[in-house]
Amino acid sequence: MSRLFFALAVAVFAAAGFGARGATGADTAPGAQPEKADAARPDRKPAMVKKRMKEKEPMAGEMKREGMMKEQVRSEAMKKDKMMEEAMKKEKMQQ
Amino acid sequence: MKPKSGIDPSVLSPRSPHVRLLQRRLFLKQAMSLGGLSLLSGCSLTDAESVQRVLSAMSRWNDGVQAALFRLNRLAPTYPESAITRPFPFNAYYSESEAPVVDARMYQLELSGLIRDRKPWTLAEFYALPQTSQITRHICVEGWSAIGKWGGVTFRTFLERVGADLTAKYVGFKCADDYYSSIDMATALHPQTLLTFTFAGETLPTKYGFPMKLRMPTKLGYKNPKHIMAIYVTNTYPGGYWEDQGYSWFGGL
Repeated sequence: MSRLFFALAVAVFAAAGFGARGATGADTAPGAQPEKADAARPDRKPAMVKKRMKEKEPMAGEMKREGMMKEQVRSEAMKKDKMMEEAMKKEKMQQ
Repeated sequence: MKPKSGIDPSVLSPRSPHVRLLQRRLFLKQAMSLGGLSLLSGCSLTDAESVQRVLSAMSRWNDGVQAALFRLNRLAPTYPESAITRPFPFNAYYSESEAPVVDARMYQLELSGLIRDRKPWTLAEFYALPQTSQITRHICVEGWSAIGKWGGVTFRTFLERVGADLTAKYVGFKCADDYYSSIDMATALHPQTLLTFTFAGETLPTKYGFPMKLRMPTKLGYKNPKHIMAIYVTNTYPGGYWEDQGYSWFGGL
């Protein structure tokens, strides 16, 4: 009985300690709330753009092909960004 | 009266003008059929890599022809205030309520590439540049058009102010809605190409591209980026979202 009580006490203590770290934002535990933690950081700038797009939905408009999703634009933009950054670095070196 | 010997044998000779005419007609007919067949196969094989390659090459050739025909002094038609389309249609790959909201106080346009002064620009700095306005027709590749009034600064003025390399080939744009596109330098320097901040005399609404939209009455609607967050100048072909999906890159009118 006392062994069971001891094991339970250790488990409760460990859980409380883990939860406390998450709540203070001192750890990046999955339970932590990133928005609150970010807001607390003085060096963090507020966002310049508030996005409202529901990315997991099909695209609107007549230009799309069937099955195209809104999120595809962001993923293509990221690829293009990377490609152009590298290309422009090379251009700068050639100057 | 029936001819005695039926058809004159000289008419059937391969060198006869009648036979040559028939052969030419047959050739044209066959060529048309072959063309039709290739178009038909193009419809059913649009995902095949080879078909895509051919179509892309044709599109690039078409872009080259459009660029060669483009003239800086050829202006797009302008219209009176009475011709303005009300309400002006909204069009994007998302709904009107999903348009990105950009914080005007925080906004800074990012500059990169072949530009001498790459310091970020605030909206106040843009509003301090000489402003102009124009009433022109926006023509969408989807098959509709609408007339609107846009106000802002000529893009050439801005490019000169920041010391962009005006001999470079391309100007690229990155937008708050993740859209991206690029244009040729000749169009960037066209007198009707405006970096706009107003629509119908009011601050550009969110749905029409606040804080700024590049307006080019010489190009199709999808070439006019909204919610511009970054501009770069380069000699490397940057493409664009719809352009990379197969739409014409030049997109001229």
